[in-house]
Amino acid sequence: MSARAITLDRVEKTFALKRRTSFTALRDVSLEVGVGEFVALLGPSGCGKSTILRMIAGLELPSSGVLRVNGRKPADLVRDHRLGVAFQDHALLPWLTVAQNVALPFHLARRPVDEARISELLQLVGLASFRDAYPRQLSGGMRQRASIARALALRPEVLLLDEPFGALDAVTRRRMNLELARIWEEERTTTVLVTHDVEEAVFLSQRVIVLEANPGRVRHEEALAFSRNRVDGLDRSDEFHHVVDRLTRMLDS
Amino acid sequence: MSPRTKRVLLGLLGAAVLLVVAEIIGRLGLAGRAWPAPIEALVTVLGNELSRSLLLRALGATLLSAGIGLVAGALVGMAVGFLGFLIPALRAGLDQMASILNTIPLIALAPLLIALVGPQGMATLTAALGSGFAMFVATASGLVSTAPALADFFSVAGASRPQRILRLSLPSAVPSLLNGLTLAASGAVLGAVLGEWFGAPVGLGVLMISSMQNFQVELLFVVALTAALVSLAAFYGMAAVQAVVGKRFV
Repeated sequence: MSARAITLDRVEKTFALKRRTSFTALRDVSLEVGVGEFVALLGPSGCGKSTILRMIAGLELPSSGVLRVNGRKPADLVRDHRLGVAFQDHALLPWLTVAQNVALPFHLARRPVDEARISELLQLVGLASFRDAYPRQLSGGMRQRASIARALALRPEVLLLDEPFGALDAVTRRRMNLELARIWEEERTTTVLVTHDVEEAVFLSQRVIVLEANPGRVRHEEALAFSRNRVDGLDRSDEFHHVVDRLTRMLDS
Repeated sequence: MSPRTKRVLLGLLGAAVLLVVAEIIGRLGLAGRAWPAPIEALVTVLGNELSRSLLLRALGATLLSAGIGLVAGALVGMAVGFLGFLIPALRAGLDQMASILNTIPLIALAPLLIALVGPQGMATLTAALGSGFAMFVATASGLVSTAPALADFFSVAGASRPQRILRLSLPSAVPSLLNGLTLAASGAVLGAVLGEWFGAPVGLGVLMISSMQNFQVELLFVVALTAALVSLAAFYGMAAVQAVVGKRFV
């Protein structure tokens, strides 16, 4: 791995519950994500994987430890509009069209709207003919693709995906994963994906970080190097299923 | 037959049955002279040139007071609701003040209000009070009804506070505002009629009082029916606007 884009150094996160009781969501989490790398955070619910993502996005602050994105605090990147994020809930504004939603980051950054970039992104996520549709007129998968297009609008330094396909049915989900792999090949943005789906994590990422719960901590890291190309039937290959099986057993134990 | 048509037909049937029963009671005089036969009353009052023009003039005056009161009350209510949103320290106090003002019976406030705006201004003022409260509540709750995921997105995208208010909080409040407007519109009509009881020169409320005092039971019935119908029309009119505009915002 060459340059580091994201580093977490002994990060801990506790939430205050009632008086004098607190809950440790993450304990002693150290991890790194390289520039241009696609890393998946995999774990059962309650392992704090979304909390890690929310901290990288500047939505939560670590209770202790150091978290840096390209050498800076997340809040600084937020101020410079350098983060892209897509949530499980697509979070598209219902009163804006698809194109207007994708253009929103430009407005929030007070930059002139780059129409060419928006058309390019809509083309990339396959929504070119739906640019004037409203989110409620789209299917769940289309909304998520619009949401990812919006996250990529300003060419962010880091793309954060919090179970973006978690609410979709299995068939759509597989298709979306294929789409995302293709999109990522084009954009090559440093990406952190949070998921509880082993196949999704192994299929999309170059490295999987397995977390365990109570308190949330890193259990295992696995760099993936498949001979097969993702868009070329990787998910039907034996080597792919070996890794999936192994990681699934790890999560079960 | 769709469930919707079935419901509407059932409703109309119920209304018709009620009307026929009321008509029979009135015609036979079963409930004394103070019970008018609805259809007969309508025919008598609307068939008479004089009472018809009297009714129309009163209706015009009431609609004018209700309209002005609605607009003024809605503007003030929304402004105060927005103020409480901008300055959170004011929020609790404003909530309390608005609900206290709304729970004091109008009859207790009336002398004070008459001294303030005079009997002629009462209809507009009571219309404004009712609709203002509805719009205050709608604004205050609408502005904080933003979906958490949308708020998160604005945070990560580095939106400033003015951007957040303009591009997120205000559009998110639209459904709630439209909802408030349906209540405010029908409330304004009833508020105006009520306000006219305190000495307005003309209006449905005035006509109600005078017909009551002169034992013009049929006229009284038609005036009350008119007030109810106008109020319902205001409600359903706004509900139609809500259905068309509101669905864009959810």
